[in-house]
Amino acid sequence: MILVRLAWWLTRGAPAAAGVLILCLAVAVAGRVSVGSLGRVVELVIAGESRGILGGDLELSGASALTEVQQKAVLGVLPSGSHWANQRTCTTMATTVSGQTRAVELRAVPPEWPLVGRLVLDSAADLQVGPVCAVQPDLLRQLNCRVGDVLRLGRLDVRIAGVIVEEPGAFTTPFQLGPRVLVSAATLDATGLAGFGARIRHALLVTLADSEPAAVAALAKAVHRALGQDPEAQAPPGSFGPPQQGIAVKTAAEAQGQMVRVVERLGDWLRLASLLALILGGLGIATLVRGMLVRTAGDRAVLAILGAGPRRLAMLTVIQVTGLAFVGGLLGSALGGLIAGVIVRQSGLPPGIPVVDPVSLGLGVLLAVGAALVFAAGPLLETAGQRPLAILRGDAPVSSRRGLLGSVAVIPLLLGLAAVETRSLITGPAVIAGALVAGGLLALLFRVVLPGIGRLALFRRGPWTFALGHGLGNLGRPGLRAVPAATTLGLGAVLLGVLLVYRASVSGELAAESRGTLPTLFAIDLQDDQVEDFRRATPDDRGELAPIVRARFRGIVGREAPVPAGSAGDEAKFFRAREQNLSWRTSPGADETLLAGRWATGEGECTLESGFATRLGAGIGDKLRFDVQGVPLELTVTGLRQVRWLGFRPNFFILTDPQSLAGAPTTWIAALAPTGDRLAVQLRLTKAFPNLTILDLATIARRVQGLTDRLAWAVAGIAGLALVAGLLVLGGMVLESARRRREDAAILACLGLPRGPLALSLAVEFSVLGLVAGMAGLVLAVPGGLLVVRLLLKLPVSIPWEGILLTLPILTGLTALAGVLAAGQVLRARPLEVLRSD
Amino acid sequence: MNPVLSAQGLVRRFVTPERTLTILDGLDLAVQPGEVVAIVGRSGSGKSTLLGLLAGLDHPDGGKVTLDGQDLATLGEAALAELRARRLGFLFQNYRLLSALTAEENVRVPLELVGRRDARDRARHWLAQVGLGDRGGHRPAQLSGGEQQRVALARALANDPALVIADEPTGNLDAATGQTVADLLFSSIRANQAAGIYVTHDPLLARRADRVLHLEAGRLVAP
Ligand SMILES: Nc1ncnc2c1ncn2[C@@H]1O[C@H](COP(=O)(O)OP(=O)(O)OP(=O)(O)O)[C@@H](O)[C@H]1O
Ligand SMILES: [Mg+2]
Repeated sequence: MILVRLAWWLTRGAPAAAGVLILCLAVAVAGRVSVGSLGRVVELVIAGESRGILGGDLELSGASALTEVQQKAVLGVLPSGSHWANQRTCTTMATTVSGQTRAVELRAVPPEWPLVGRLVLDSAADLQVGPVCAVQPDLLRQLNCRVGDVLRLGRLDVRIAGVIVEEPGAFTTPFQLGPRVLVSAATLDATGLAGFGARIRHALLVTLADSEPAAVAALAKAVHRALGQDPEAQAPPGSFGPPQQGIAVKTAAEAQGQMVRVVERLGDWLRLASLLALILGGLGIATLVRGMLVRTAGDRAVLAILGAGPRRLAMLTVIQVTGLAFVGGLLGSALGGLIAGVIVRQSGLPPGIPVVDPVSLGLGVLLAVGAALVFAAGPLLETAGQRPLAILRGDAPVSSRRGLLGSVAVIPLLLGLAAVETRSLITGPAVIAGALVAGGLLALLFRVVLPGIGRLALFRRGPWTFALGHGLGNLGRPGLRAVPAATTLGLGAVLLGVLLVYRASVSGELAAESRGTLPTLFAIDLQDDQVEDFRRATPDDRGELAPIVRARFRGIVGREAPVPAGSAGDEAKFFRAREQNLSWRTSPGADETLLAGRWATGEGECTLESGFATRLGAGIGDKLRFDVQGVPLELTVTGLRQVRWLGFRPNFFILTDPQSLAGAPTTWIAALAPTGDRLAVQLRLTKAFPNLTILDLATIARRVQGLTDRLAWAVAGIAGLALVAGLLVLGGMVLESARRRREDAAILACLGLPRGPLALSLAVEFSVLGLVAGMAGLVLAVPGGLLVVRLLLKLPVSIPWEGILLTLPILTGLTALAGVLAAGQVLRARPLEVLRSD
Repeated sequence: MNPVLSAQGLVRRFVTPERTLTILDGLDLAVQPGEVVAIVGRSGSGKSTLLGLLAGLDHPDGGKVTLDGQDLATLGEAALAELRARRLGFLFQNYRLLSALTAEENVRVPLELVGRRDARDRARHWLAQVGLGDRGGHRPAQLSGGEQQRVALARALANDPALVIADEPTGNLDAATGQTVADLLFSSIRANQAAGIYVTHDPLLARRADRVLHLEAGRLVAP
């Protein structure tokens, strides 16, 4: 208890230092907490959106309705609180009174539909009453009719009661063969189209009380088992091909699997960045604790003489640090939540999603206390074992060897933490190691450069030039800790610069859609002989056509190709079904880059998507065996590709050379990014190619855009935190040397230096410090960012030169400001008081 | 009667790059309960060094120190600290108050270190004893030198120590203030039936002790 009280008394005695320590911790923690909260929010949002896209958490679909036994089995595994709705879809012809005909996709929905989201019509029509339907606007144009007109569907005349504005579950099938027509179940039955032998896709949509993606995925497995199906034996979702046998079970997350995966990876990187911010904060903590120990050394010596043993004294510091860390952690968690909240608000995410919760609050506090103790270890060890008499005499030795040892002990901890945070044994530790190397380089550089600058002050005539020289000279005075301050600031600048490069590169990647180049219209099932006509029909729509040939994977020549353990999702399904879409391209598409090897050009060659190749266990030079509708095909891997799946363009795991698939049954898929009116293009194409299915993905594209903005904000936030952390460290270091500065200033004042020049000397000292540190840091940041983005993210690099150049003056100005503010007490103190009290 | 404090054959050397200084060289000393001893000697003769050894803050290169019948060499750091907290009171030339703490809090520190429940009351009692009952809430920086030394005195006496050790307790004070502090020091030591050992350059102050010893050539001699 006495220790707690003493800790409080001693801490209270130096409020500024305690405040800076708390802020340092708060900033360090805020980054991590905000990234955590943000990640969860984005996850929630994506989960919510994908629910909307699927129309439920889970969709069971098949060519026939569930039998009673099946239905019972499925309902048996659904948790309580679940809701479900049956939906039937078929393709049929709609005919107007005037005899115009068009293929439509007729969907029958029960009254409880939709389970998620809302069906929005342009009128207040009720589909469940009478033989009425709602149609997509395209149909009205294609058939040249209006709301109120009558359509013949099967043997029933159905009145068009409204136009569909928004429909949940609109994108579940990529094989929509015509505009949607929504009717009630009774209406469908009355058309006679649902009779025996009709090609109807039956779907059971399910929503759960708990739509946590993991819980939904687990349920999907359970449903498979309840139906007596192998959960893995499914075609990859998103693969363009005919529906398969059995009952397909699809989760909402799978509906947007790629987006989730991209977000997860970016989340890893944000967590890593925030870890770097934490390290910067940690450096601040180390400095501040060191300063605290130096400042209170005399007090602790007196306490020792009064009878406090060494363990108690060590405990005292630990309690002080822990207490401050606790407050810092709370503050940081709150701050992190606030930052996440602001980002959420700024990016137009739905409000009302909680951003501060007890878990992240607890995590923040834990992180703060852990970081504080870990980073305080070095300075604590450094001063451990000092003898009180020696301290009072002023010649207590500082064991920098032990301090260094303590600091080195932190490194494995950091590497481990980085590995956990990035879920990778290589990326995280590599970045941390890079940061440590950068820190070492900077420290070495500043050790040489700063004293050199200190000697630059040549003429010292009059108070102003003297002050200038004095300020520069301070950079070389060891007691003022310019080298560690510059190193920390430099590291901050490195982190800032790397984040700038990272942000520019990532948003350069993701921003394609904001320039309107992201395809929004897809045309599927284009036949070989239509390709040329299609190209001619879409000259301004930046169309991109890709051939598709269905093939069956037979293995790697000379090797069994077992399903790799731990493979999940698309690929695992691929390994079971072995059904794959092959395609070819003469050169890399807009969404891919060749990572290794060369493009497949000669006959019998192919390139693989790199992640897919890893899973397959195939490398360059391996021969893959396929079966294309009975014709064997052998392809040699010549290269590995990185694919940006978020690009929404048609992309394939396997791309062959242009000749190998000649003659095989081929269909084409086209992606269009129309510059003009999307609907007009759609209309024109359906007129010219009646067999074509056209999908409008503009809504999804908008969501991608929103996501990009959110992440850009998060990166900006982390960068800001890094800057603040660096400045706080600087402030801490200045505070540490405050007493010495005060004494110097008092003596200078007594010797006749006016206050103005004194202020100038401070300003000069810190702006030069900021300039040098910023310059060195930003120069290092360019190769650093290049390495991170190229090697680890495997993205094309774009370096935002203006942004980096602009950072330098800002950094310099902020450093000067922070330094002068922290050292401001030097200016305010009255010399006589200073000299008397010390 | 057993002495409160005894030193036998104390040796203390300091090794510097140029040469080895032998500051204490076979020094003997015994202080009886209730006895007050003054130590005088030239500057640099080793008086402060001696006090540090007696308090167990430093280890001798030879000889031994016995406090309350315990050989200090046999005690670990923690036990030494405990012994200091319970049995010793300290007074420094430059007061050495904890600057972040108020006067009352400073006096409470040794009381709390031994876990006394009545720490606050006793601290107030002792502050009143040294005539600073109304200054308990003040920080050291708000007190004069004499006042600070009186707070330090209250702190040294707070735990009813068996032995009070003082290194030039009036060295920083003017004659009149020094007189007041000395009066308080002696009356308190006597009132507690404690023993005392102090270093001083002031012949008048030295004369108030029961016994005066000269530190010369590393040993104590009677004048
Ligand atoms: N840690 C040390 N290292 C080296 N020399 C030391 C050390 N401590 C004390 N000395 C030397 O020992 C001698 C005695 O020092 P001490 O402080 O005990 O003198 P003193 O008698 O108290 O002097 P004063 O009356 O001036 O306070 C001095 O010469 C001093 O330089
Ligand atoms: Mg002395």
